[in-house]
Amino acid sequence: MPDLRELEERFFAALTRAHGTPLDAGLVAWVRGDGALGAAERVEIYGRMYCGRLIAALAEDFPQVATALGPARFDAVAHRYLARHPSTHPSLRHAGGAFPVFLAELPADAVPPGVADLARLEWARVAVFDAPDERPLTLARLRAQPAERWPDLRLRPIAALRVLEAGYPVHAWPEEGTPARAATVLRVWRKGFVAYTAAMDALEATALGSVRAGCSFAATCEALARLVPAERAAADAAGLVLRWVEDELLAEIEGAG
Amino acid sequence: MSSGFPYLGCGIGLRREHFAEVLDGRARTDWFEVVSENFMVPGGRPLAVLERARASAPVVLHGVSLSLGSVDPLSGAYLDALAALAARVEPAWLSDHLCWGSVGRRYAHDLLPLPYTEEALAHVVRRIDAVQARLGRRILIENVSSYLTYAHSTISEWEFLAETARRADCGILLDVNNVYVSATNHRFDPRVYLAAMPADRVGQFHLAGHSDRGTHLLDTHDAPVSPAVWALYREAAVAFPGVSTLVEWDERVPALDVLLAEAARARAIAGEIGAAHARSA
Repeated sequence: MPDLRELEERFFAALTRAHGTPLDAGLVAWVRGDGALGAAERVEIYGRMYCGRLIAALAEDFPQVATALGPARFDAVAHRYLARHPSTHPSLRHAGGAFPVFLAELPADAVPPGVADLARLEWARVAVFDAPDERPLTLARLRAQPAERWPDLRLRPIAALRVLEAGYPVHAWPEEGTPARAATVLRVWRKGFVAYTAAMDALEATALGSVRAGCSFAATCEALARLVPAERAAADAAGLVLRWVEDELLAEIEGAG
Repeated sequence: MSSGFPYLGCGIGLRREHFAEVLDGRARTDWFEVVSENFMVPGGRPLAVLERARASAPVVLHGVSLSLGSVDPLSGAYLDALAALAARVEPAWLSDHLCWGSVGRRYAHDLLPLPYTEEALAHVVRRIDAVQARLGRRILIENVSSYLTYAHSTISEWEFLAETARRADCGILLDVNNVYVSATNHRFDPRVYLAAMPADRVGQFHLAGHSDRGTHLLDTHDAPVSPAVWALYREAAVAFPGVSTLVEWDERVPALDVLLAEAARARAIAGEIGAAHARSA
């Protein structure tokens, strides 16, 4: 008879075995069967529940990927993913963490173009959904900053913000087919309890990149001055900051008056 | 006989489908049970909902990934997260399952059956001891639904559960639906199971719906509590009076009113039995 370690390891191997692989006969021999259900059928109940639960969790976290692939293809891809990346976290919340990279590494004929980028977007939404809470910077707080402080002002994005560089406009994924290839930069953030996505042009992407890197407002203006006439840079930067304040993607300024 | 766990009445499992009602104060129940792992997150809507629920009623933390029967070392990170959540929520108690669900640091996210052997018993008791020491409090352990038993088990499930609770000095979360499902799947008398439960250990009941798959019952939590389980619950409530009851519904989750009606039905049964006890006292 097996000790507990051998039993658990072989049971788990049976749950996670590849499609079409025969069930471990030794494991089956340790299980009682009866007229209603044989031992192998009883083990298979757990196998079906394992796959069903994990694939349902992936479909929930990647709904558009599931739609884009269709049920059969998504199921097959998810099986391959789970075989390569079994869950290593106590919470199902983390089971899909490696799914976007896994999709990106699949051969081109396995998933349509752009689907890996779409998965990255959907995982970013998962990430911002339960990211740490922070008090957002308000317009009143921003206006309270003395003018002489602005050049040195270092704005900080909230933790619930992700920036995504994609090869496809995945934020506008069509109901049928795949979008045409186009370099796209997105910001994904949480406002209140809702996750939002917005495409950024080069100016906004540059400015937000500067802010995320911890640069001062003056340095951000300098970065923009490489894209627009220097006399416009400060006004453009200020306009973007106001937009971000409205979207609540900047964190409160520490020590602000 | 008291289990040492307070009587909270009849509550409901808090699920995402009812978050909006919790946030706007419409979800009124005796108490809430939440799946601990779903709230081990840094922020966002789940924690806001949990705090709102806690402000309105007692909350109990019910884990699914402690993996008490696993041969892996207990996860220190998991226990730290659980302790931190408990410090934040101040739950009436914490509970998890008498099963295993992970090995080799990989999680099945399922409640897998243990063999009922002395080796497994000693192993689980050691781990419950460690968990209770880390949390600084007694926990409740729940019987799971099962679809297989092992040829090398040497004692019954009910003996295993009762002895585990006695040796580890923990409470029992008696899932009445799970007793019924396993009794059907393994052809034992659920009343024998109830009779074997130590009254001074039973601190909570679970009720839920199951599905009949022809060859077996599946613990799906996607339907109302079945008539047979209500009947068994009535017997359990007579045998273990004054025990808190919780209705779970995890799949195809209905409108909140439907779930609250299930809890109200449990409350009515518990009330009838309490009144009968009072008359006979």
